[in-house]
Amino acid sequence: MNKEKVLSVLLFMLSLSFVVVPIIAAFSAHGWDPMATLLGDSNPIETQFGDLQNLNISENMFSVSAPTQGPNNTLIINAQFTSPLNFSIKIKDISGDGFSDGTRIGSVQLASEVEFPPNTTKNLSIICTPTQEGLNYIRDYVRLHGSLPQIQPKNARLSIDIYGIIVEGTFE
Amino acid sequence: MDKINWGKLARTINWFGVIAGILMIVLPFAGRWWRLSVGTGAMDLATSPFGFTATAFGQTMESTFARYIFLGATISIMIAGLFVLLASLLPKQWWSARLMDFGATKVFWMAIWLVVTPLIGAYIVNNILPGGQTLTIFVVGAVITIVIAILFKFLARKFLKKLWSKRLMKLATNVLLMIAAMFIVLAVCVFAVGKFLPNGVQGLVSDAIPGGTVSIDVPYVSGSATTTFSMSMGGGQASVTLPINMGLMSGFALAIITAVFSILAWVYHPGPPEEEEKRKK
Repeated sequence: MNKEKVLSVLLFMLSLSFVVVPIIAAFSAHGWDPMATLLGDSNPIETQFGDLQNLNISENMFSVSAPTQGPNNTLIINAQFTSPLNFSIKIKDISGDGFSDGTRIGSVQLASEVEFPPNTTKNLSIICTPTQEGLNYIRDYVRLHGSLPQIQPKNARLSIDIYGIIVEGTFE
Repeated sequence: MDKINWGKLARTINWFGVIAGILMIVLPFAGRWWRLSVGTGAMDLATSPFGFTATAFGQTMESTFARYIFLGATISIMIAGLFVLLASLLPKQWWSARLMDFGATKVFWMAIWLVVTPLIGAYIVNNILPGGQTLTIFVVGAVITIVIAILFKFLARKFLKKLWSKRLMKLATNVLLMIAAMFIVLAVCVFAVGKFLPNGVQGLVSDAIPGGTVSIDVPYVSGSATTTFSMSMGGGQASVTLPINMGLMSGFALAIITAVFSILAWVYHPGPPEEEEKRKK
C-alpha cells in the first residue's frame, strides 16, 4: 500500500471517529440510558407546568366588588385576581355582554391588559358601556335598591398570553 | 544557503485555501446560524453545526448527545481548517491534495444541511402531516434526480479532462444525490402518514378532542407563521395560537463566505501527484 492510500484511509478513519466517538462518549456518560443521553436530566415542561395538577384553586382567588360609576355613563367593575401559577401570564382581553337579572345592560371590556407575575394578586378593571335600555334599567335599579346592580358577563371572550402563546376561549 | 524566491513561493500558495482555512478555524466561534422561537420565551432555539442554545418556558434545555456531537463537529471543522491551510501553503507536497479533499467541502455541506433540514421539516409539517399527498411525485422526483446524477457521472468520466471541471461535476453530482435523498425521505413520510394517519393530523386531533381542529403553518427556514389548535367545550370554544418565528443568523453569512472560499480553493488546488503526472504526459 503506498503512502497516499495510507493517508486516505487515515483521513477516512479520522472523519468516522468524529461521529462515532462523540456518540459512544455521550451514551457512556449517562450509563447507556438513551432517554437521559438524548434529552438530559431536565424536563422544562415538567419543571414549569408539573405543579398544575396539584394546583389549589379556591373561590378566594377571584373576587368582584360592586360596580362604581365611571365617566360617560360607564360602570367600572373591579375584580381582584390572585394567580396561583408559578409562571407569568398576561390577561390580554376580557370582553362580552354584561347582564343583570336576565337584562342585557351593555358590553363589557377589560380596560387594559394586566400582567400577573408568578403568585401575585392584581386588580382587573372592566368597563361596562350600557345601552339606552341598560341605562334605563340601572336608573330604575338605583331608584329601587339605592345601589348599582351587580353585572355578570355572558358570551364572554377571554384571551390570555402565556409565554407568547395565546390561549383564547369563548364562554356562554 | 539558497535564497528564497518569495515571489515564486507566493505564486504557488493557494490563497483561496489560506482564507478558507483561517475562516474554518474561526467559524465555530462566530455565532449560531439559525434560530427558531415559539411565542415569546415558550421556546427559543439557536443552532449551528457547532452548538445549540435552547430554552423552553424559561428553563435551559440540555442534551449530552447533542453537546458531544456538536463538540465532534467543532473539532472536526477546526482540524479540517488546519488541513486546508497546510495544503494551501504547501500545494506541491504529495499529501496536499488529500488534505484539501478532506477539508474543503465540509462547510459547504454543513450549510446545505442546515438549510435543507428545516426546509424539509417545514414541508413535512405543512404539507405531508395534514394528509392527502400522493407518493408519485416524490418517487418520480427521486428517480429523475438519480438518473441525472448517474448521467453527470458518466459525462464527467467521458468528456471532462480538466481537474477543476471534474471536481465541480463531482460536487454537482453529490448535490443531486442529496436532492434524491430528500425525495426519498419525503416519499417515506408520505407512505408512513398514509399508513398510520389516514386522515392526517386533523383526524388525530378530532379523534382525541371532539370538535378539535388544527391549522398548521410553519415557516420555511426563515419567516413567521402561526399554528392554531381549536376545540369545542360544551357551549364554548377554545383555541391555542402558537406564533412561530425562524431566521438565519449572522454566523450563517460567515459560513456561506467560508463555503465559497473553500470550494474555490478545492477547485483551484492542484490534484494528487499521479493526476498531475498524467496531466503533464
